[in-house]
Amino acid sequence: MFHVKQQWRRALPLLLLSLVVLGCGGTVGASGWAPPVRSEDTLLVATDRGQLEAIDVESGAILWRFPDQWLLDKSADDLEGLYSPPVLAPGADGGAIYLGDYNGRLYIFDPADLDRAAPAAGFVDLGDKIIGGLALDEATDTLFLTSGDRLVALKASDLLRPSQLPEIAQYYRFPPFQTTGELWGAPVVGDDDVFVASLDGNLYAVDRLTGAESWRFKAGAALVSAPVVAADTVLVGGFNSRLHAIDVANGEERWSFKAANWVWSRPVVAGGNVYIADFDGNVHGLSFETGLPLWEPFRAKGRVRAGLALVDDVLIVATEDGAVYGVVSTTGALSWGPIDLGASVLADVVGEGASALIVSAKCKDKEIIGGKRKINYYRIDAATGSAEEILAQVGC
Amino acid sequence: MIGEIFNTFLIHPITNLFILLASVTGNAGIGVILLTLIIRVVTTPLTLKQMKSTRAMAAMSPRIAEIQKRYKDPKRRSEEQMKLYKEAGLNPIGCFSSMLLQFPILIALFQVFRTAMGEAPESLIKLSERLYAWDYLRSAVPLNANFLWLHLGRPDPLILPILVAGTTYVLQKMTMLPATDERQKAQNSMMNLMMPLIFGWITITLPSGLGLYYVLSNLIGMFMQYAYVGGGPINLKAIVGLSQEPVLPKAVAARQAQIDSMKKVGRDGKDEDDDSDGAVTSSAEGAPSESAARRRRRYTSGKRRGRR
Repeated sequence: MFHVKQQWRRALPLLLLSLVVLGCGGTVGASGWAPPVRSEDTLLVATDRGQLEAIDVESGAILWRFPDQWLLDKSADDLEGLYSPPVLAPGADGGAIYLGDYNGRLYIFDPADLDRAAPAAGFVDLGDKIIGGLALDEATDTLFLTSGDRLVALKASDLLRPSQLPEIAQYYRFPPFQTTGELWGAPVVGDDDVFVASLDGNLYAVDRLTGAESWRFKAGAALVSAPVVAADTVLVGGFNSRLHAIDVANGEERWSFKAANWVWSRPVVAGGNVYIADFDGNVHGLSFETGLPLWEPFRAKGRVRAGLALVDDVLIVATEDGAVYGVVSTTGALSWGPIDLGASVLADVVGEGASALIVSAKCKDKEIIGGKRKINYYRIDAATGSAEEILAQVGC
Repeated sequence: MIGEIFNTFLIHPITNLFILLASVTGNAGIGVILLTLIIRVVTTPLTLKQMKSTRAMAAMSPRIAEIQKRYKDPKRRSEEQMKLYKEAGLNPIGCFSSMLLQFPILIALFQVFRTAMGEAPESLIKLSERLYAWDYLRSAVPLNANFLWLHLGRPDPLILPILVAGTTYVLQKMTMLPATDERQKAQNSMMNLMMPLIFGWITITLPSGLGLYYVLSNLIGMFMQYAYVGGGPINLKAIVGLSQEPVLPKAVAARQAQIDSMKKVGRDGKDEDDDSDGAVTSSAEGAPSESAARRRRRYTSGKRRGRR
């Protein structure tokens, strides 16, 4: 018996090493969570495989897929992690699209080019990951975007050339604005300033014409949600479990609301109220003026990262676990739900007419006549909570 | 079920402890250093037990060799070896007790570092599952993962793997004593090279926080080994392979003292063997005999003498 034990002793270190290799497998990859964007009859949906797909709203058919159908330099044809929605350039012929990815590249392409024999797409390498996202300031023709810990301002129209754009510096509206933490929330353009929240714990107001810092608000913990500007207030949430309401003129705090856990989802402002969800699944209704709660928080089962959507007095709440609730915005009572999508939801819920659009990070199998298809895109009726599963193979 | 236990009792506490340390010190690298020290202190009793077992096993190797030479039947040989271990009060797996604990800790640390210092935002969502409901910890993330030339959440392709392989090699050299036979010598040489290379290679793909932990852990292991042997000179030539002598010459003297004590046990055993048709059965079947108990007492007192 012991000769077996002896061999076992010799093999043990290698066996344990193998266990370490197995146990240390898998990575937390950058899948992205860009919400869908409606453009006329087309819905632009980012997939967790670094693609942007255009879906016909009526039929659910895929019209095109970027970058697959475009000619692109080999060094840049593998996109990763789309965290922010694409931005449409309305002035351009056919409607050019700006898209930033986790690899730090900004892509510019035009779906109208697909009529041509060799549709080309351009890109610029910003050198650091684009997580927060893009915001177009049409008045100054400036495309603001986050890249690592910098806010970059580019001349939007100059970028609309279907070729590789090697020198980023020539497109700067002003030199990049440097912070000391990564920027995970999308920049928001206000009347005079652009607001950007940083993991260094500051909300920065940057002059939209010169790039000079107007003021900064120190929250004391990483700020992660995209700021929202309403009237003369900018709202931002962070890892200190607070929602801060800041005066846009001077950066002074008007009020702050303490939630139970991280406030990562984008706040929603409507009808003199603010709605937010925290990472414990609590949905709060607050007074926009005072920050005081309007009702007892509604408790969803699961973390909420996805921004809420308000459709006809119903707040659509989607948890990371894929449970969707309809909550009455005036009382905080459950209207319907939960609907179990069976897959994680991290992308903001988007209101569209009387419905809400939800894109899930993972796909689930759907039995249909003649086999299975994958689903990760849903349209939810806000009044009844009935979910229509769109049978497009988005990101699956 | 096992995963849940692993998460609750290992990954979650280490994650929160690490974030606390990194937050209090303001640097994730210092957090890794402190975490390594704490883990080594907590596992010291097991490490000492392993060192004792390893030394006792080394002292018994001449007797094992004798048994292997005498018995051709593998079953009988195993029985005799087991008897010997039993009489000496040793568990052969005891040599690996510290290593057995080390591996779950390594896996747990990998999970901790990849979420606590991961770069993609998704890693923080994963991290939130593991954080205790304490505002201080929740607001301490994300951590500043830059330390020296490293980003502790990313692999370091060059320097750290070399350090991991180097320290693993030196620690093994310090732990291993000159082999008593050719086969063991060959095995030792292979292990001396293979283990550092494998660890170095694995480090290339892992978060460098884990590599930093392993290097520090090895350095502490070296210090403990040196202290356990009782100090004395270090044979640097042996580390770089220019000498066949052991790295810690004092360890040989300690082993010799223990072998001497084992010889006494062996002599008693041989007397008994002679009484039983020349077989090396040192005690009767079934319950340990009075003579076996006597021998164990003598052996353990020999161990104490050897240590002195």
